[in-house]
Amino acid sequence: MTLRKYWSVVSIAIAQARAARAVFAGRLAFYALLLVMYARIWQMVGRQGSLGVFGHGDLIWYLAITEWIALSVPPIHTDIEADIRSGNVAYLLPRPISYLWLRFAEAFGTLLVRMLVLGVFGFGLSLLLTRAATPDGSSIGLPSGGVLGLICGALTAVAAATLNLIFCALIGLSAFFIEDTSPVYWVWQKLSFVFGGLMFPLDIYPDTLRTVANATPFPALLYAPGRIAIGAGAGFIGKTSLVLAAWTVFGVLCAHFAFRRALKSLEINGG
Amino acid sequence: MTIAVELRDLRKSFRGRAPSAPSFMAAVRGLVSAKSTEFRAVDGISFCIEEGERVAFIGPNGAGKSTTLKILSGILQPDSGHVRVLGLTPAQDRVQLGYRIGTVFGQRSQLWQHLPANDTFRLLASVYDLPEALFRSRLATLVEVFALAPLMSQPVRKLSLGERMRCELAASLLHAPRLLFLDEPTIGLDVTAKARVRELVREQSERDGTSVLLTSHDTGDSEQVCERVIVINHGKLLFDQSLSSLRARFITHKRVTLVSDRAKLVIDLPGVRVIEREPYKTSLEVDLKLTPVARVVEAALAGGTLHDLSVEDPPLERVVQAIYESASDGRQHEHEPERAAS
Repeated sequence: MTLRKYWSVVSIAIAQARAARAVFAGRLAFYALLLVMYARIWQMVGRQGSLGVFGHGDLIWYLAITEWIALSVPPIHTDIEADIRSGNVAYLLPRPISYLWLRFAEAFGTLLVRMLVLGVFGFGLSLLLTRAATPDGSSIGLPSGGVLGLICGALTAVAAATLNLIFCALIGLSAFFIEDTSPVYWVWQKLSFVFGGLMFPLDIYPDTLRTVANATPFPALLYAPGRIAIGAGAGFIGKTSLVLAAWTVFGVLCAHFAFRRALKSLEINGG
Repeated sequence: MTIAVELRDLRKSFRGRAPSAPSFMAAVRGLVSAKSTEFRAVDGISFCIEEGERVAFIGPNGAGKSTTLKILSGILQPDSGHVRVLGLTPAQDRVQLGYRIGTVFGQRSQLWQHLPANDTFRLLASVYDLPEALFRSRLATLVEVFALAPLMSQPVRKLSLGERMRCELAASLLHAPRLLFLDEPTIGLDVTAKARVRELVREQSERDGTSVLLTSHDTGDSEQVCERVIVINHGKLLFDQSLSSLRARFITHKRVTLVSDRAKLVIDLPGVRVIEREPYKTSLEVDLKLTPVARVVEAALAGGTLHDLSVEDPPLERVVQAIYESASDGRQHEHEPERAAS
């Protein structure tokens, strides 16, 4: 019965996200701008032979995957913060459903719709961009990982975006203690972009930076799905799955205990 | 009668930072060692609400109403005192209690804005574990009672505030709660919508035996929905009696505004004082002990044709202030004997 409740929330969030499709316009435009701009940059850099082991088509696909994840994750932390600031949390807490997982299920529904819309758009555009960039314009423009790599990369991306959502919920819960989550989120986002390899695969990072990055969850959130799509061995896919699972368990436990602690804090501070 | 809410000697305090002097050094010292201060939000409140009873819980901002409601709904744990709501201890049994209470906050919405209200009703059926057959019959009843049929397929964002509030009420009643918390349920509504919402709440309570605890700064809500009034201020209970007692003791004046075909309307009656005058419009303060409003209206009609008429109570703050002053003067009567009799 409990899971059915959360599935109902996911379903209604999907319906709401579909009904409010106008909000996708800006996101799609930004996504397109990024892909077109970087396609041109990689093309120019490629002509100078400075792309290292990656072809410029793969770099476009890599960016399409990492940006797909980054643009799809809804701002659950601001929703939680707004509930706490406005007192709306007092309206939602007495219901026979966990406030935290209610908000998570809602954001997950939005995430699924965003991933579907942005994914179809981004993959289609990437195909066009990589095809146009081949010398005779005849290549079908798939990444080096092929169709299988793309499917595995896409599935890993959905898992990574879900994990991202869990961490963002955790940031949102910090509003129970510090009220304003924007500094925490700002730091998290910048670290995620740098250590997650948003623009470039970690393979081209200096060794020290790559070692530091690999000790954090960020590579699993962005780099790994992109890397799988542009060609990684089965071992890397297996390792990524384990890492994602481990960080997800860690994130869920942290969110669960942070929420319990937050409820006690609410009892002490009156919200 | 069964007791729906039972509070005995309820106390709740919050700790906060003590205000520091507005100087640079004080700000620096505050970073190192902040002094804390205790604020007593609820200070020994006791009352009971019987099942099916409709009670207005009023007081000025910061009086302790929200804290009490949060304790009653299990969000806050009291420092001390006895709390039972529908036979449960709220802070311990919050989830179980959630199935039995409903909440409507006028400034909040539980409806999904881009979707028809029907989608939210279906979600709530799932949240409250309502079997499909029960959900359908319950929804059919609420749609009929609240006249929701024409609204069911429209996105909530396209509904008027009054229509939305009817949907909010229906959403809160879907799981047939035995106790309904209403917080400013008519805020922002026009006169017609306010009257409709109040009527619906009262009818619903009478039909299903739902207890109602209403907080509002609009005295009309209390007067038209509730039969009993509890007034608190500074966390203390000041008044707990029937609405008729409140009216008789504290609402001693009314403001009557008359728009007539006479440029200057003169009404010479005892206890009637002009407080504002414009051409064709006169506002009067009427002392009800000396002259009833009906007598004022008769006098106005005798002086010409009336185009408009409004009768307003004094602001709630004034009523509460009067109660507070009465309590400060030590003239506050013991409320328990009167409760037992009412």
